Amino acid sequence: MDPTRALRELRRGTAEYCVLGLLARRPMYGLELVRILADTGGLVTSLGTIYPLLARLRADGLVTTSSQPSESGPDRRYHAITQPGRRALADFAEEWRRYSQAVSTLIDAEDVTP
Amino acid sequence: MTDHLIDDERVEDYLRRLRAATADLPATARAELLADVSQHIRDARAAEADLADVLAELGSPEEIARAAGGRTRSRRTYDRVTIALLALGGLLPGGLGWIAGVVMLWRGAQWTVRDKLLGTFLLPFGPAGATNLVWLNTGEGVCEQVGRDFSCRRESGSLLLVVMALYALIGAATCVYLAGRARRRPA
Repeated sequence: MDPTRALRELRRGTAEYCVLGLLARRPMYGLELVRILADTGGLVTSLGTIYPLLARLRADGLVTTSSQPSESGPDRRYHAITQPGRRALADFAEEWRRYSQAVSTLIDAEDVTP
Repeated sequence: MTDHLIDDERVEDYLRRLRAATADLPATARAELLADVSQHIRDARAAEADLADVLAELGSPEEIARAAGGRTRSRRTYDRVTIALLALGGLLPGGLGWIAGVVMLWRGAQWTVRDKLLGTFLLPFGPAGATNLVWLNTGEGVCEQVGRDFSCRRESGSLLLVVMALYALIGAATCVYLAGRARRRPA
């Protein structure tokens, strides 16, 4: 059994909600979203894979992307969470709280003696 | 007006590879992905980041394309070979080519069971199998006397030709349908 593999699967499964969690605070453009995710350890694959993930969130109606004019050069694409996106995030947050508490309790080293 | 922030051979090469790797995606998805990645590079450069680092952090174009769910090159090849065998394999003796195509069809997760049944049973031996229908020749026999012998032949009944043409057409349409179905299911 390999802990890193389990965590990799977990990261893959929660990546979309991490993105939603960030966008729930405010709309962001690609680079800033990606950088924060990488810095907080919410992303272990290469940065570029976030963009297809955003496309999936868009397709599911959880995120919208719009172009805003920017000071330097062409319009900038900003990603924003939608109402359905907020609902999905809230539902996940609830499940995640319960689940992560359960896991923490179950693997608590103090109570588990071999 | 050139965009000096992304006007670099390495960037052009990277984006070209990304464009190629996403050839299979629907047009809007592909355009949006390219726009997002171009913008990422532009913004990173504007923040003084080293281009080599930026591209390394992004990951390979192939990795991004894979995350976008398009078909991989090997999948595309598999699909093309399967369709080619189904379409033309009936020409080979014993229809072996077509049978190989059917095996590949059934082994491919990109086709639903209904697709597979359609491809197997709608027209055995595929459009090329129309050539096997010659035994249906219901044309009139014509015998000519040549010296002391008779030379007989059968004329192709027009019914046979119509059936063969229909067979080939329906077979071709099935192949086109299966090709379209494969396109729509990502690797």
